[in-house]
Amino acid sequence: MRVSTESAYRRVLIGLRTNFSSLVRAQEQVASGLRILRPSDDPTGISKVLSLERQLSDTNRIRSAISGGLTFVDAAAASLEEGSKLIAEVRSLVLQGMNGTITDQDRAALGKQVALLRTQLIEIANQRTADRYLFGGTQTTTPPWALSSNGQVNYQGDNANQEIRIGSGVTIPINVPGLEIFGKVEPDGLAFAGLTGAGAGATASEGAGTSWLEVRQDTLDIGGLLALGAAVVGASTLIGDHAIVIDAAAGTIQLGDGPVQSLPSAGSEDLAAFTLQSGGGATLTLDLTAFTAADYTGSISATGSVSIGGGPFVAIGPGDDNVRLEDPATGNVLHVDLTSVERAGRELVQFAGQIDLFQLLDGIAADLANGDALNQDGLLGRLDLRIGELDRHHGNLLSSLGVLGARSARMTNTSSRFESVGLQVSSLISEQRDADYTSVVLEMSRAESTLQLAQATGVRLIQRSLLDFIR
Amino acid sequence: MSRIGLNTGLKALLAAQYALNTVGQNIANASTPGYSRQRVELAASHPLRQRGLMLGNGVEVRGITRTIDQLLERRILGQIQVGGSLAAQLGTAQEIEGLFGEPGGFGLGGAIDGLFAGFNQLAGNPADPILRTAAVQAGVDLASRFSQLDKSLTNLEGEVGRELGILAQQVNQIAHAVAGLNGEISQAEAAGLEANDLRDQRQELLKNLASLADINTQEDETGAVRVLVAGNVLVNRETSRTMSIDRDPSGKPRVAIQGVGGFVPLQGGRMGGLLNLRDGFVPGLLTRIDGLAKNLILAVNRIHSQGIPEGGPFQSLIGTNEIVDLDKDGDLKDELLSRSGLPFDISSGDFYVNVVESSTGTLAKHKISIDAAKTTVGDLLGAFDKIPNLTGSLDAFGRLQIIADAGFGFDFSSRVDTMPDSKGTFGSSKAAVGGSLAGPFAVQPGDDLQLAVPGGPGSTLVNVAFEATDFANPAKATAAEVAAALNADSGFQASGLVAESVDGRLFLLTAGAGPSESFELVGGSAATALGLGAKVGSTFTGTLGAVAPTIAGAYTGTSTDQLVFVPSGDGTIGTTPDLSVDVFNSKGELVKTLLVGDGYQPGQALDLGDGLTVSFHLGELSATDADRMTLDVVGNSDNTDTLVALGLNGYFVGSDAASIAVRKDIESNPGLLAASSTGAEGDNRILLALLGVEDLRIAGLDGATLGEAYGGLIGDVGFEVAAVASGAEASNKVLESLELRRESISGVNVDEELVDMVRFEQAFAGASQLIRVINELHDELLRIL
Repeated sequence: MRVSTESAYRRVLIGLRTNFSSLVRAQEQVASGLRILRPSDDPTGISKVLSLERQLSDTNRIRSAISGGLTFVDAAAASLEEGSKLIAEVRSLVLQGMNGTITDQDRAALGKQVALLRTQLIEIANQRTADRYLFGGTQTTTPPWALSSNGQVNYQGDNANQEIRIGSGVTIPINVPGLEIFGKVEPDGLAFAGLTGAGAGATASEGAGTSWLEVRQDTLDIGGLLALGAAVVGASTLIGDHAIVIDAAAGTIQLGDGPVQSLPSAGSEDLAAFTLQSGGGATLTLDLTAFTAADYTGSISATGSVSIGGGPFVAIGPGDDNVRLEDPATGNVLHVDLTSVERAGRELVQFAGQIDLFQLLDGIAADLANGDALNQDGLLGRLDLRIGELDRHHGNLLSSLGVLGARSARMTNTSSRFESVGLQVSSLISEQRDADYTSVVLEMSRAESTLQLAQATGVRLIQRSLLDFIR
Repeated sequence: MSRIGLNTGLKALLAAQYALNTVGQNIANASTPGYSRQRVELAASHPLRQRGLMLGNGVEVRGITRTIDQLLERRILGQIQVGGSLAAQLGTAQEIEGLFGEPGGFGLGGAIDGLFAGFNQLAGNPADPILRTAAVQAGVDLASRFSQLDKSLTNLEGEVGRELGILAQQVNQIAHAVAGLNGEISQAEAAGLEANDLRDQRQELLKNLASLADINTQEDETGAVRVLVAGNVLVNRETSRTMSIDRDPSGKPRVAIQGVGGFVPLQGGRMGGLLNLRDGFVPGLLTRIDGLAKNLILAVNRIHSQGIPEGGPFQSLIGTNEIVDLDKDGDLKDELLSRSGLPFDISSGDFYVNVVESSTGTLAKHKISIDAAKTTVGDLLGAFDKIPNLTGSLDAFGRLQIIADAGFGFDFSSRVDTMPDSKGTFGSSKAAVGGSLAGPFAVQPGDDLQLAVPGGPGSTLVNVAFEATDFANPAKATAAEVAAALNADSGFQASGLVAESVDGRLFLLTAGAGPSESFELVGGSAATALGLGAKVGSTFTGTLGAVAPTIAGAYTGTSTDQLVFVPSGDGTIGTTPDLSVDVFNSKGELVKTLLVGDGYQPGQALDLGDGLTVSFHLGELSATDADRMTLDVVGNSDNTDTLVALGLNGYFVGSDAASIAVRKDIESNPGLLAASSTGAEGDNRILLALLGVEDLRIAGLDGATLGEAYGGLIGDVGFEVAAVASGAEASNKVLESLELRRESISGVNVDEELVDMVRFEQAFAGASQLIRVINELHDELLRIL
């Protein structure tokens, strides 16, 4: 083929240009370390890279969510561990208080310590991390347990969970609502202390914690005893109709199904204040100074009324086996059977609803101080009841701790799984996008030597001319 | 003889001179673009006949011709057009490729990621104001990427228009020059001359023209060339027409030629390439980016509109999208809601509005049903007005405005009513009786209902007679209509009684509560039709305690339903043996039986399924008095997209890449970002749902996720650029090989010319020698004389 001088130049140029551009391309890859610098370098590859990058950033998001969640879960767990220690401390204080040899003052001091521990526990229940309350459900900016003016704490949070995303469509709660930790325990149904003889009515009762049930004596009629010269002195706790039998020959008197008591002899100290006892422990004190003993069978009747929590008193009528009483302070509703009431007095009614740990500790502190002036047996019985409740609360707190621990473990596992997924995806991205140095450098040196050859031969080609030989 | 010999020598001298001159011209133009090698055509002169002999008469120069392959020249012109088009496309396409900023995470993909990262961070602590601001800024950033990309691509269209203008100028200059050369060539060739260099010049100009636009050339008998641009004459002989750029009705610049109607559809050359890109590739990209933006807005706003901002329910809210008066009658209310110029489609279904009393937290759930084929804007406003304590109106721009009465707020969340028996028809402490039948009822106008309430001497009798106007169709009166008719009656009002409709049944109850409240159903001709026949003559009395059902938890189900609670018998909560509450779904299927009798602790939470619990308090339930209560559980609080279309409580505003932005008031007050579905500040359900948008397969994006659609878009940009680049490269190679072939025919080889030079130099020397010899012969003869 005929080759013109111009085309010879041009061919050399094309060769140089092609070789130079592949050298530049190889150098670009070496310098950036990337195989795909723009979508057109590998359109299929770029789609894959973008999809992998999405997966990687999702993985990173999940890991960041988990690391934030873990701080929260671990802070909550640490708080609960501390709480558990405090409850154990309370328990040992209560056990000390149950020691029969301890004095009332020492016991009151223990009560003060319990009150102090209660304050600490409230602080724990109101603990925050990064300005977020740990135990308020999704109410994270207000303290979950608010101290009210009467010294009670009320739950201000909710029972909802804060959740974090730990996978596509998978979430895990990072909190346990405070009410579930500190307030969930349910005692064993309605219970009466048994002082007055009141019992549960047929209709259910509703309420939480305890309320004071108060039975009051309104009127007292000693009937025929009055004619015999007896007079009532002092307070009487008798309620209802009670038989009275006097055996003049034996010199005895009996009130209802109470013990048969000897009448005081003349000149006895008891004469001016002789106390009769019924079987249920109700008492009636009589002045027998002007009393003439004679065989007598009659009855003494006392009317009374009843209220709970300082609410309005309701008169006790015959056959009142299902009286509705409402505690105005707590809203507790009690249906009470009054047919067996034979004694006035105050007694504690335990409702079946939820009672939170702080109420319980409040109760324990009060019991230790013995504000209700219970006798030793009564007090020990109460404290024994309290210990059982305290243990249930403790168990509840520990199970919440367990839940948090399990979640922490699951989150840690998920995070480390995603960490390895992330590494894998990163390496896949690198495989797609990054330059393979060995082959790129090889390619570059090949392009370089081709260019050198082209330059050398090109120069020789275009230098040749017939002119060199024409003189 | 001598004359002949001298003549022959002279001719040879001249021929050699011409040849040497041509060699010189060839060597001088060896590198001139478009130059074709010239050759002196030599031929033996016509012989002389003398004394019966044919004597050679020397050499003759027949002409100087170009060596050229016309067919090859045409093919080169065609290839230049293809190459010009691809080169123009490649430059712009590479520019577009750069606009996306991929890979490297500086593009839209990175910004979409950033938005989800922002939501994810905030989900970790929804009450944190810094994270809130960050989540909002991530949206602002994404929106600005969208609009930047849109603006850059739209600007590109403008730049293409400007470049077309400049190129048209060049076309006109070249066309003018071609016309001029046509004249010169025709003149020269008419005179029998060969206009070699002029033709080369003209061919070079045509090549330049071909690189700008797709041209066709035809040479006529005078040697002039006709130039056609996409079939329209641009140059004819010595005249050229002007090419100009005009705007079409849509405002897009297009190519026009003087004297040709309409626009010229260019395909080849630089101009063709630019037009091709502007009308094909760029609008295609814009459509896809708009699709991404629109579907992102739709998916995000669908979820966000059902959220509750940090400050709790709204006191007032204005939609961001405007209703348009499409029928231009000056009234917006008669527009069909689904066809009222809103940027998103509205479909048939329901959406729910919660009205919350701020002081008590009491929530009332209201359903608004939309029929895409029937519901008008006016119907929607009417539906809002029917909701107590809420007013809906249109502002001056045609945007929906909702305002709650003082002391009330509203939201569109799917949270449940925690106190579902707000009407008092399910064991409340009010005296109450319900109908045993569900509506519609056949009520005759004039039918009445007679009731007696304590008061006055003995009791006060209340008699309410129904009128035809009380009902849309008296034969099919609904419980709600009957209740409204009763409540509107002054005597009924004075009696202290209230009528309610629950689950399609009529309920009569006292306004007050407690055992002192009572009323008697005396009778009336409507009693039986209303399902109260069996109760005529009965007296109903209030109670001390109320069952007051309380719902807790968040509904996790996906379906929307109305649960109906019906007691199995009469009795007291926690007391009566075997008392239970049956829960039915809207299809009438029993979904749950709740044991609330003996053994149930009043106030204890019972599992209702789907994340909800219910607790009942100490009160009395009565099956004989038809106690009944409904609870709306809502999976999707708006399956119609009405909220998104109206722009109520959206995160984004706008409807495409150019208009997308974070709602202005959210941007200035990130607390308005509705992260919560319950109103609690630590609740992040909306954010968690928003995170799910990333995995959502979107119908509007052909079932792809946002990320996949974006990845596909980038891949296609890459494919387009790669295809144009390889096309341009291939076309360059073809052109290069055509040019090389042309060179091999028409190009100058200096060595060849040097050989010619030596050859003609020797011919010249030979001829000179001949003349000298003849001259000497003459001298010799003269000496003889």
